[in-house]
Amino acid sequence: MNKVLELDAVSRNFTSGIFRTHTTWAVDHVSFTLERGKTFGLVGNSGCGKTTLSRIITRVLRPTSGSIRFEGEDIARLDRRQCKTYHRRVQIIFQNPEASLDPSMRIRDSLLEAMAIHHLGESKEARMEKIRATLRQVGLPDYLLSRYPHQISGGEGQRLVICRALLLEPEVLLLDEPTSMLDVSVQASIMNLLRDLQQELGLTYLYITHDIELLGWISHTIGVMQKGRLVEVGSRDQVMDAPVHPYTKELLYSYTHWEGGTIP
Amino acid sequence: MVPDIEIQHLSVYFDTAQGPVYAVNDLSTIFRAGRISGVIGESGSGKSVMGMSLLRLLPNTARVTGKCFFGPHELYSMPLRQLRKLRGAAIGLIPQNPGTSLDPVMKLRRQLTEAITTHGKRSRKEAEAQAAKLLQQFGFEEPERILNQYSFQMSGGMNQRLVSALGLACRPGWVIADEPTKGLDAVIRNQVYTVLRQIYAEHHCSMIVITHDLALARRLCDDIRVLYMGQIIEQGTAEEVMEHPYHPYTAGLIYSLPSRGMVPIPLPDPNRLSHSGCPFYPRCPKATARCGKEKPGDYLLPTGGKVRCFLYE
Ligand SMILES: Nc1ncnc2c1ncn2[C@@H]1O[C@H](COP(=O)(O)OP(=O)(O)OP(=O)(O)O)[C@@H](O)[C@H]1O
Ligand SMILES: Nc1ncnc2c1ncn2[C@@H]1O[C@H](COP(=O)(O)OP(=O)(O)O)[C@@H](O)[C@H]1O
Ligand code: SF4
Ligand SMILES: [Mg+2]
Ligand SMILES: [Mg+2]
Repeated sequence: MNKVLELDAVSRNFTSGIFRTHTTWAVDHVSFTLERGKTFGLVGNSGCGKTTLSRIITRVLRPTSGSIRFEGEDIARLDRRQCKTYHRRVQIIFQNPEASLDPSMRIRDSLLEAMAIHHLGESKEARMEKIRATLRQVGLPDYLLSRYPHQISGGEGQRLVICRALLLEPEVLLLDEPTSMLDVSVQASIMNLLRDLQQELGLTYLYITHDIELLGWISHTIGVMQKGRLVEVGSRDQVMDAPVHPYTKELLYSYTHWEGGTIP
Repeated sequence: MVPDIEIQHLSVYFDTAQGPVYAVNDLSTIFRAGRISGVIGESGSGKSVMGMSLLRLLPNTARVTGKCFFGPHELYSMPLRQLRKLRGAAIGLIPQNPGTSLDPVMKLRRQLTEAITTHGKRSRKEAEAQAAKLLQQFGFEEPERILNQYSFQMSGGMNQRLVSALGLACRPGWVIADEPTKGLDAVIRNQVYTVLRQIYAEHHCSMIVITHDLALARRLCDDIRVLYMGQIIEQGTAEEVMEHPYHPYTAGLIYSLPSRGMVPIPLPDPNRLSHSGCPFYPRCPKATARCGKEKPGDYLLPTGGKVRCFLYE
């Protein structure tokens, strides 16, 4: 077993209110491990803490307690240079591609800049060479390079964001609902692309979504999150075909059954 | 009696700096009263534009031609003053973006009661009671508390249920729901489904449900129309369309669902882009040379459905 990212009892709370403070545990003692070259799928309903967890992994938020190790190193103890490497090797892809591309920059310049920040490529020519090759890899035509983000479709945008991530030669991709704004047909093409890239490049994925069917298609291991806690973890087949926790059963049930959906 | 909605030769384009953008292309159809009619298709296929044209809620850069009969009225040419009386009262709307259709600085109490008093001659007190009842129907256990809040204090799923409640406030005979489940998780999606079903059963209202959500369309709708580039390319009962799709595009949509194989529809073939035939020709895996030169008509299926593809001539 080759562990890339290990979460150990990661927790995070938020307090609100001045006179009577109220504490929400958005993430509550979550532990799991990402294995190299595999997909860990994290599923749960809105507000269960999925995005908070991905913000902790990308170091945007500090955990209240618990720790995360990347290739054995505690990510809370990285120095500035190591941090930069961490951000290159562990990259996040969000729901909304437009929000992740600078609207005032042509696509070409966004991609070149991402590489320059991390000092990748010998020369501009070498970088352009690599950009063209990666565009082909994600199935995009060269002519998109001279466009601005508002001149491309949602599906193209998401491919571009994946292309930009790949340019930096990552180890791990955190995919936070990357297809929830896309049409089913476009979703299918992105999912197939992700699966092919994993096979070619040995990438490790943390795939986050509320769509358990989608997760069943891409994951090797599935974790089910409810109100900040990980209530069930198991292999894809175990969770999809023989769920143990009542909440997992409810999630699967509400996907396939419509009648009598209870209104809380 | 609630009348049918009959669209004849509707075309809509938008004037833009880059020239006209065609959204709906010579579309004719009859939405039957008493049924739930689903409209599915990818982003940009013209679903919302068709739906909003019925209430004349398109931006003023939209150019609309064609007719739409609703009982004695012709919706596209009747005076706007009269049409406003139909909005909400005869045809209710559950809009696509719950975030932007609720007023952020107005308490929910006022938004709901105003929606009710605009058309019905009801006192404020009666309206408030009705608003509370409506919220209860939509699964809010403490309507009084909700009425004192603002929309930004609600989650996405709650807002979706709120705009649904607003759209139904005057008990219209027809309801147009635009993407009622977009971005919702399975549990909230089930709630919205249950409420729409309940409203349909209790008020016998007719519905047009515009959606990306194929599973919802299958469960909720009596019949389904599939839109591609502003045209209806297939139409039939929900079961027929979802279980035995005829048109290659409909089949492509259905087989791209995770539960049906996750097979994407091919991207357009660059060599087929300039053509004068079937709109799906550039992406169609079953196209023949004729498809690039001639436009298919609507062919009747033995099952009663219709499909716009030469394969069924
Ligand atoms: N105000 C506008 N100006 C210019 N073009 C527009 C405008 N509104 C819509 N369009 C164009 O009309 C077409 C149909 O848009 P419409 O909003 O009906 O799509 P839709 O099927 O509802 O998609 P979605 O599922 O994303 O809501 C698209 O090509 C769109 O870009
Ligand atoms: N900055 C914040 N302040 C207060 N509460 C927050 C904040 N961010 C998230 N939360 C709360 O934490 C919980 C989990 O949120 P989130 O991780 O965004 O959920 P998900 O991504 O699963 O939809 C929710 O109850 C949310 O309201
Ligand atoms: S008419 Fe031809 S191109 Fe169009 S959908 Fe049918 S087979 Fe495909
Ligand atoms: Mg989230
Ligand atoms: Mg729309």
